[in-house]
Amino acid sequence: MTLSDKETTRQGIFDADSDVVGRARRGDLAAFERLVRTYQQRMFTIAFRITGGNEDAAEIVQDAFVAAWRGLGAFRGESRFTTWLTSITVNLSRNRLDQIRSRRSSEPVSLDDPVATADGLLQREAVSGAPSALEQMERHEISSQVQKCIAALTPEFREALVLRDMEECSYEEIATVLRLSGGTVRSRISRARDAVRDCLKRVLGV
Amino acid sequence: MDHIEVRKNLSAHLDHALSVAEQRKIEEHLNGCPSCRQELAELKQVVGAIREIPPEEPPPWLTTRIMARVREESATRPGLLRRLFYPLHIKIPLEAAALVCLCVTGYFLATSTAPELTPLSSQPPAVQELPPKPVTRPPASPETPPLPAKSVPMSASPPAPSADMHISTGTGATAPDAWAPQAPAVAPQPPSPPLTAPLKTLPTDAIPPGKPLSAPKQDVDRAPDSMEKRAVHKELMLSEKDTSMAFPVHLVIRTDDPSRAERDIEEAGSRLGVTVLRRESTPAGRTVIVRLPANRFPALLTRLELLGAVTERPALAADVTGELFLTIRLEATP
Repeated sequence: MTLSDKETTRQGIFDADSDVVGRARRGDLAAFERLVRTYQQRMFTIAFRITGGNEDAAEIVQDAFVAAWRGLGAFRGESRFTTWLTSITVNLSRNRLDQIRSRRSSEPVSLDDPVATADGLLQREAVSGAPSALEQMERHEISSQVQKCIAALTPEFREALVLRDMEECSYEEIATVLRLSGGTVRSRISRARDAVRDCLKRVLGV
Repeated sequence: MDHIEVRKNLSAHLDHALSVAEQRKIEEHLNGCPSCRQELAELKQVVGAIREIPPEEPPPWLTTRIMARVREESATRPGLLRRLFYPLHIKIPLEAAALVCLCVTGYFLATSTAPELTPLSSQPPAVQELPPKPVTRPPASPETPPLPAKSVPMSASPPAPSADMHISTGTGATAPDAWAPQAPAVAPQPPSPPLTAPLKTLPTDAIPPGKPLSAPKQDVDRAPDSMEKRAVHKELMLSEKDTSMAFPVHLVIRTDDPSRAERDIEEAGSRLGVTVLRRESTPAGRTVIVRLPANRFPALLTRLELLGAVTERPALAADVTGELFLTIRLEATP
């Protein structure tokens, strides 16, 4: 039984990756590459959903795995490896998003920029009326609209929704990753879903 | 549970993230509330739509690039680990060896210097001036009697701070027999010139005033070898700063009656200004340790020659000044 296994058992958390993670902790590059191949798509998706850019997401995932490699020695198995890795990815995505925002703040205001609404959730939607909406319905699939609505959420709600409905994390894991209480996680997920529903109603006209 | 609270918890209800009691209350409410059921249905559709979104495909080069960076990290990582842990394999034996060397050195220094340093450091710094007295007898106490020393009249200049260590072991370098210190007993000491040389060059005003001599009680003649004799000599003569300025001289006189000769020495000494510091009774005879001005030594020697055969005597220069520290061994004629 590896150290990681013991820690996992002690903490009462079952981690299917404990063996591979244990080998990677001892410097096994092949084991770490296995973790990379297993989780890079998931981390890339999370980074992409939060930041909205492929290049940003790719850089974030690279940084996240390198940071994980550096920090494996400090990883004590108090949470699952995926939760720990997701936490790194979300934090790096937040940082990247802040950089993007600061860049945008120095640029001229666009009509497509997010607008502060009463609940602070939604991006500015084109005041296009029915024709424009119909054109969009014709051009895009529903999933594309859903993604847009998700992208319109403010980061804190988007993070919660992505982790729950796209990565299927438990509420406890989300609380761990985002360092929030269970009640806050529940509230954010609920409000994010409501916002996406309202967004889809507006966009799709249903 | 009203509409607002139910709708606030519908999302968590959908994820089965509520307690059993909360779940039951919501289900009870939903059974009687079509609008809330509609709300739940829409929520399920939204969640379903979100979950149908396919995951993003990372670029094909991502794994390669990640691992390239990780390998770069791992190339520097052993260096860090080596800096942190590998030196322990070297450090621990080195530290152990250094500790052993330190202990051995400390033990060697302690054993080699302690017998000399201890009496020096235990001496009181104050100088006790005693009235001139021809002969002083030691107290009756059998253990380490403090023998009063005759105060030296030429005490104007203060003693040199380190003179005790140097002179205490080097003044008897040319004593004729092995009993006198032939070589310095203390390591940090300049080489000893012949006896006549320091006697001629030593200024008389460098001799400090006398003070009580605490000579330990020890049988001089029982010293089995020269090393032991040197140690005895050192304890008897050189533990005092003022006595260190006196020149140790050793005489051996063979006489028929050592006790009578001892009394004669005292009588003769009282007339010549000799201070008897100590008397010892040994199986071979008697030992008398006296202090006297150097210029009185020839007169004393003349008187001592009347007591018996002087078998060992020092060769002193005629112009010796200062004080002599004379050990007279009175051996019974076989």
